[in-house]
Amino acid sequence: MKSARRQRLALLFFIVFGAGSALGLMLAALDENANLYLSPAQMRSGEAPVGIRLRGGGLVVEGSVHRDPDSLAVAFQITDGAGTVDVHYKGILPDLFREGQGIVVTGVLDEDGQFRAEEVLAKHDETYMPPEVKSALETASSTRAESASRPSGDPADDSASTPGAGAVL
Amino acid sequence: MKWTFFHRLSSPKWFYEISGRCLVWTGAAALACTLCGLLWGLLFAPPDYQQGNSYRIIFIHVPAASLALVVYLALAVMSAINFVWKIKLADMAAACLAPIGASFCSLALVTGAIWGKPTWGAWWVWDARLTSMLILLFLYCGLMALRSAFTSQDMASRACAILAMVGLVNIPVIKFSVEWWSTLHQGASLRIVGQSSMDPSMLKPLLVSLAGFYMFCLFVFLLRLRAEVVWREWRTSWVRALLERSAPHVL
Amino acid sequence: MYFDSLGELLSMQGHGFYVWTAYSLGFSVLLWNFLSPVLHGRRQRAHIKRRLRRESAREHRL
Repeated sequence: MKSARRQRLALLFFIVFGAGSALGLMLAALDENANLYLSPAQMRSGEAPVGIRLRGGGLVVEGSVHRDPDSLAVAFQITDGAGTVDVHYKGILPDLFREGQGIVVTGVLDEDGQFRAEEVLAKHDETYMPPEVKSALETASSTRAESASRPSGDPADDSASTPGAGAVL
Repeated sequence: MKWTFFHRLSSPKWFYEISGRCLVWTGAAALACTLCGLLWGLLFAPPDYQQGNSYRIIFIHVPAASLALVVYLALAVMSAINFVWKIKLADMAAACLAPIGASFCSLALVTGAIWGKPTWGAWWVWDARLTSMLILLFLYCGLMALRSAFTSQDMASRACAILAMVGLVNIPVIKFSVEWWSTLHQGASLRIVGQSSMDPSMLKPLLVSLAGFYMFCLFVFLLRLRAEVVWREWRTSWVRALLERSAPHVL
Repeated sequence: MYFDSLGELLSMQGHGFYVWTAYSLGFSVLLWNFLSPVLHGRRQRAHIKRRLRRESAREHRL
């Protein structure tokens, strides 16, 4: 009776670890294919196939958004820090689309490295806060940036100004 | 090895008596916390700086999604206990958890889609988090279908236990999908250790709502399990005595 | 309260449809979770009682 129970316990561990390692191997084989999108760096390095529908994702470069005044056409750049890709899109952008925002684009990469997007999705991060807190944070960080850019002779002076900003953050 | 305490704990009669005593309190706490959390989130919490008011779906979406995972974990543990120690009450619990988990899993998927449309711009994307969550729903449905496919209670419980334990590997995949792969779904905002990336004015109603949903889940689980105990044990003398005593409206 | 009027609460600055749909679905799932075991349990009990009554009637006849 007791040994039967131990046998079932062993079988239980066998099932769980068997299934776990099978899935682990499968995921390792899938590797990058499970990613929803390619990074701009991957598109730059030629890792991304040309002329095939694919997804790319990155942050919209500040100041790179150019809207065509006569149509819905829009051009912008996305970056992941290691590479930048030009994106061309024609259509309505999601509400959350803005400069500095993470987005995912579906479309085709042409020979010139220009991304022709058919769909633009906005990605949002895991931060949630009220607008007032956001503006308070922005003023705090801008004053901190000012004090950092100021040529400070005494490092103690700079560190003395940070605790206030740190408390807000 | 001494497993006797296990068997005493797992007596259906003992469970029925204990659960009857805490049923009202669980229900009252669930109602109070859920109502408080949802109304707070819906009416009093400030809007998000990026998403505006659409983020208010979080007060339903996050508790539902978290319950979908936790209920599966509980289901798998109950299945394993029944698989190894042949405890009937654990199998009944596993059977009762499947529909509850499935309902919360579908709620998480549907509210996620409703939230995704205004924020991402798409109802559905085949990213790792959404896909693994859909697999969880299929697992729940599979467990329910498998159980009803057997006429023998014993066979059904063994088959379901094996499927539940195999499906367990999906849980860490769901949890860490947003870290392992690039997904459209954002990372976790709530952290057990360390600072949550959510403002306290939004975090508090979310935590109250989470507590309410968990209490509610426990409450409906007890309700279900009590009904299941009566159904499976109706031949025993204590259930017969209970049925003779009780009016039909008693839970 | 964050909203100034009922109209604002309902429209939620354009997101009202999404938010209210999600909340009503959430409410119906909670309601189903509560009602389903109660109604199901009641049916099962009635079934068991009928069966017990039938059996005791048969015993009396014997």
